Formats: sequence, C-alpha cells, structure tokens
Amino acid sequence: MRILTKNDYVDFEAPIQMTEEQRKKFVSFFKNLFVDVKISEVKEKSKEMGKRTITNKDWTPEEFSLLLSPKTNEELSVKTERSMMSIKMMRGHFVPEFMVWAKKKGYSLPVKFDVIKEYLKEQNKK
Amino acid sequence: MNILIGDKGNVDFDSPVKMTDNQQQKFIEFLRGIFSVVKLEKTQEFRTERIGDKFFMKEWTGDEYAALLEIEETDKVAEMLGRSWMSVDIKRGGFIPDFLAWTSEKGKDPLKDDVKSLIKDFMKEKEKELLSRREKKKELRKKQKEIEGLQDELEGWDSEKKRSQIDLAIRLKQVKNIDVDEYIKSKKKEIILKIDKLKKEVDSSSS
Repeated sequence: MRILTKNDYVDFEAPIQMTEEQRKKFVSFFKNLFVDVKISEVKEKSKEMGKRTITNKDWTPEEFSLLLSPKTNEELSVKTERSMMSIKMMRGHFVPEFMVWAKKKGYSLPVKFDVIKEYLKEQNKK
Repeated sequence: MNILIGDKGNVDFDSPVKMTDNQQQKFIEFLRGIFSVVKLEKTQEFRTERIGDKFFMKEWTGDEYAALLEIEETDKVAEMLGRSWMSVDIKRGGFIPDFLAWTSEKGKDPLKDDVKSLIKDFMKEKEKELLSRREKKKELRKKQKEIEGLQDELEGWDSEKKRSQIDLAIRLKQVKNIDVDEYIKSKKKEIILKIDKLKKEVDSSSS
C-alpha cells in the first residue's frame, strides 16, 4: 500500500481493506494517538460481490492440472473453452492454495495427475 | 479526525490527517506491523474522493507483486496487503502463469527451492516490464484525459457565447477576415483531427 505525505499531512493512496482484527487495532491506534477520533460507517461503492463462493463443480481434475502448467491464460482459455476471466480467477485461487497443500505434503513440481486428484479429494472438490 | 469504515471492509480517512513527524513515524511503524508492504511517498495533491464516493482502483507496487507469489492462501495474502480477496485472486491469476513459466524455463521448483530467492530473481527480471507497463498506463490515461478535454472544447464551439466572441474578434480584426461559421468549422475540424489521432494512439497502445 502507498501512504502519501505532503507537508504535515498524511493520507492513504486509496481506502485499505482490513480484517476485523486489523480494523480494531487501527481504530485503537488512532484513539491513542489523537484526542478527538470520530468513527463513521459508510456504504461503499464496490464492484465486488461480498463473500466468496467459488464452485468448482464444473472444473475437471484435467483442467485443474492444466492450471498448474506453465501455459499462458490465453492458451488455457482456448484449450478449455472457458473465458479468460474464469481461467484467471480459478488459476489465481487454485494454484496458490494447491501449492500451500503440496508444500506441506512434500511434493515437487511438476506433480503427477494423481496428486491433483488426491488434493481435490481432500478438499472435497471432486 | 474522522475514520470512515465501509460496509465491505475498507477503511479510509475523511480527509488527509495532520501529524507531527513523530506521529507519522509511529503511524508507519504501526502499519508495517499489520501489513507486509507499506510504501511512503510524497505527493503533490491528495485525492478528494473518499470511500463511498466511487470504486477505487489501486496500482500494484513491485513488492506487492512479489507478495502474490508467496506460497500462501488468498485470504492470508489479502490480509497482508490490505486488499480484497477478489483483487488478489485476479492479480495472482494474471501473474502466476508468468512465474510458473519462468521457473519451469529455469528448471526451478517453487515447492522445493528457496521460494523467496526465486521471487527475488524473477522480480528483478520483471521489474523493468512492470515499470514500462505502468508508464504505458500513465500515458494512456493522459491521452484519454486529453481526448475528454478536446471533446469539451469541441462542444464549446457550438455555444452562442463562443459565436459572439468570434464575431467580435473578426470585427476587431483580431482574427483574419473570415465568416464566423467558416472559422468555427475550421476550428472544429482541427479538434476532430486531434481527437481522431489521439484515439488511434489509444487504440493501438491498448491492443
């Protein structure tokens, strides 16, 4: 994140997403630093849909395996006949989560297809 | 001071906050304690829009890109960066394939090799590309603003006020002896040509 300063003034470059715990710490920090701190609740303008609900039911283990390959999103979009955004979002979500799991299990890349199946089974995704 | 808390988890100030050097230092230290990438920058002007006024797009810094490659779950990375899970998923989806292709090309394995040093080497190579992409985006925004300005100017030439100004300028011989309509037509043509040229440049750099 970028914090901007000019003379004695400080500001965020843009609003910051915080967990509840981070928010509590933030408010308490400012209450300790300044005497008069007001809190206002605001309705945000957002393009996001709230809580994440990713359903993997239409994704096959073969497709998950492709997400782990070094192929580009464009190539995968053509190969799977899925939109670029859908590839991007599933890749961005699946690959790191899979890698966290695979690292814990001691696997190396490239993984065998059975390893992906094992992951999906453990995650109850397939 | 007023802290604004959004219903989707974003936090903002209602205006820039006046702080002493000591307070600024404490603030940065505090933020670095709860977020992993905090960059302090001097600015010429602060934004006027606040949370609730619009949807904010934040540019990604090199260090934030590096954090995307950490082997961590999305929620954890989002928390580390102060960004939403969706923005992390989308950005990771665009960036991770490059990293996977790079590691595969170098014969490296992010699961077995030291991932931090892999990220460092990868980012070193990527930094130039990111910088040029950022510059390109800036240039594009500048051109789009220029187009908007020219479009406003174009509309202005249709106003009665402008007609009277030109008429007066012609009568005062400030403008060469030409018919008002003809003068306006030639000015509008000039602007349209400029807009077309800029639009072509924008199209070619966005494709």
